[in-house]
Amino acid sequence: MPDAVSSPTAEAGSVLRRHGLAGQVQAARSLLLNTWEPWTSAEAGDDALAVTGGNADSAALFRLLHLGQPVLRSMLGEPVLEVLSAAGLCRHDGEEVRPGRWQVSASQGLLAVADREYGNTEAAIHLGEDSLRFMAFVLEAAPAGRVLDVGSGSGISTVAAARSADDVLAVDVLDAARESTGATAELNGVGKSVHVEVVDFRELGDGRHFDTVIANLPGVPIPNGMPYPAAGNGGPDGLRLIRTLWRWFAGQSRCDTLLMRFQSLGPPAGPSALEELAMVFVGYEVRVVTDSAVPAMVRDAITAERVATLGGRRAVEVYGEMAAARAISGVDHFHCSNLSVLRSGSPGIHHSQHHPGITFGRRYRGSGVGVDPAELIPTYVRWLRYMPDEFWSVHGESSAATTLRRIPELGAALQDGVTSLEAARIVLPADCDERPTELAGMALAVAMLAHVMERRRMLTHSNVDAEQTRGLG
Amino acid sequence: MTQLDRDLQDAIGRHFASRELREQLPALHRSYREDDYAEISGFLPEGLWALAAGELEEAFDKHARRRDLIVRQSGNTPRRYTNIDRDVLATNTTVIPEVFRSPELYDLLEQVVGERVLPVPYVPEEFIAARLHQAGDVHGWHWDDYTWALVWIFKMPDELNGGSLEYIKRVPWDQDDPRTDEIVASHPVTRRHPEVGNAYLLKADTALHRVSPLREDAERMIVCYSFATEDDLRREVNHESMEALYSESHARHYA
Repeated sequence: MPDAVSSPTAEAGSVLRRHGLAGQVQAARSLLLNTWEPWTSAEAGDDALAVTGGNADSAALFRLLHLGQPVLRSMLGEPVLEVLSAAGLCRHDGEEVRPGRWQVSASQGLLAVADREYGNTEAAIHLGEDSLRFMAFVLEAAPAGRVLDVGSGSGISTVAAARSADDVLAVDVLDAARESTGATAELNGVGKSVHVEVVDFRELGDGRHFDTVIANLPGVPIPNGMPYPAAGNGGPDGLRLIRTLWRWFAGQSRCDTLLMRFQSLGPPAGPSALEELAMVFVGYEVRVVTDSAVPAMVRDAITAERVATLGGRRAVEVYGEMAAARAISGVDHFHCSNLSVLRSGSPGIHHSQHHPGITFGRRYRGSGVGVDPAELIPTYVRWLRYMPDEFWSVHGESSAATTLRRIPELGAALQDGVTSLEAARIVLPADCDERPTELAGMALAVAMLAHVMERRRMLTHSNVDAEQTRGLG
Repeated sequence: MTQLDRDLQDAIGRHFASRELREQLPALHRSYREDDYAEISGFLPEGLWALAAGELEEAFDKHARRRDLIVRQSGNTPRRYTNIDRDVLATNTTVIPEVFRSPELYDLLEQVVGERVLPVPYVPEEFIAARLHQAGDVHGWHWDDYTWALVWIFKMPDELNGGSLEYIKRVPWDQDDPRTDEIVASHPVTRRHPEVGNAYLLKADTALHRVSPLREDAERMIVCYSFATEDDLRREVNHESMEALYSESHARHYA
């Protein structure tokens, strides 16, 4: 049961729940098949979005707090405005009300705050696909007893755990996370069962007992010396903190269960980290479900963009360094997975993959099956929504639009054995190698078209995969 | 727990895009247009169906809950059966949630109904499983919260023993005054007894429907998916009956 209202943020949470903001966000997602945020620019500007969920009264709240658009004071009403202002969720100047620092988002009935812009500072709080997938994983696992949330960030997984647990200790090394996790807990009415500390989990030792540890730690591979938001920086192979937690859990903690989101580079077949998991968790039951994977080129192109923003360098240069490192390592995919480790389970490691398996270097042949390109569009649009959120960070919107416009031409190229990366170069300007994110986005969009065509039996896989990570060479 | 894998996802997608299923579309579209009901033959290929059935049986053995209650919102009608909530299916089975997510399934359904088919925004209602197995078990008269139910038949009793779908089409739900008995008494009731391995799509928000009571102990086991229209997503939906029937799932997501 939600706590009794006891703070401005808790009171704001009470108002937002009463107005059904979480249901409204969920309905908007369903309406636009938006599995993971962000919203595209067209969606964010669509008036229809704000009135989903049948709750016209909360349309202004949706615009202001979720989409970050200014609204008129009269649209909110003075009592609501007063509560939201006291909680720091908005500020007003005369008739116009502007959003505060935090975006209020929601998923599966839970509200959460995070920074609206991510990637421009090193201390930003992020709420993205991994956060939402992990939150759903925690909700389904329903951990009981005492829970430790390591790297709580926005706090959305903290409150998911608080739904079933007696109490949750949320720790993070970022000061801002104390504020965001605390605010998220209060917005959801579970502030009294959630405690937040700014501390490195390695300092916890084994002195405190927890039944379950949940963790969604930074996992983006960032070469040493490159600036990157702390919420994402996982060190050179992305596993720096993740493997530290694994070793702490296996060696020092006395907890029974670990639930975790982790990222790892690896071949298309799966994360390289599986081998490490098998070595660290001997005698444990280990289950890994990889639900998202993209060619490493995509991840590196986004990373290069962010490093360039923070470090004042050209993205294409940063990308070149990362691609060179990737070529040496021989791994060409970036995998995101949910992990459960049970101390008292049946020993063994189980891995499965649950994603379209997109690669950039695959060559196909036309099968002779003809399908009207117009018939492919609805399926393709649905599949786009299953793209990882990386796609929308790499010009996904424009790449998808280009692909939709040029399905006959791209389809014919794929049937002739052209790879998706090569096809992307056909439709982009000749200097596209200077803009890695644009090229990666376009290649991803074409690869998804190939996936759809293969399922319609228009393409057959030639079993000859071109090498992928040399794509920008 | 059996693990998901990409072959499974591919097999499901290829099946729903297959010529065999698409050849059924004209008849399905006509049936839906005339009767608000369309029965898809061979909903999944044999191997996938067997995998799904095995997982579902195991989930019923380990996680099912018996329900015996009267639901006020549908006019005080009974629910006596065993069910499994969405989270149990999501955590302990592979085929059922994978089929629910398949873009190719949504494409197929859109061609049957002629409009957009969208995921429901209320997580506990995405998919559930129900089993009638004791004499007197019944899923009493009711309407669904969202426009479409797609019901996948795993086990059916002999038609003479009950377990049939009975429905009255195009009688919208007045939640403040359902007048269920009056509607049943004054409208023709259509009865269907779908085959094992098939799945039927019903326009369930405006069809007052029930599963007829079992006369003797027998097995009726189904999985029900719910889907929404654009209009569903723009109106306020009351989930009180779901809260009563799937209280744990509701509490987990929306307490």
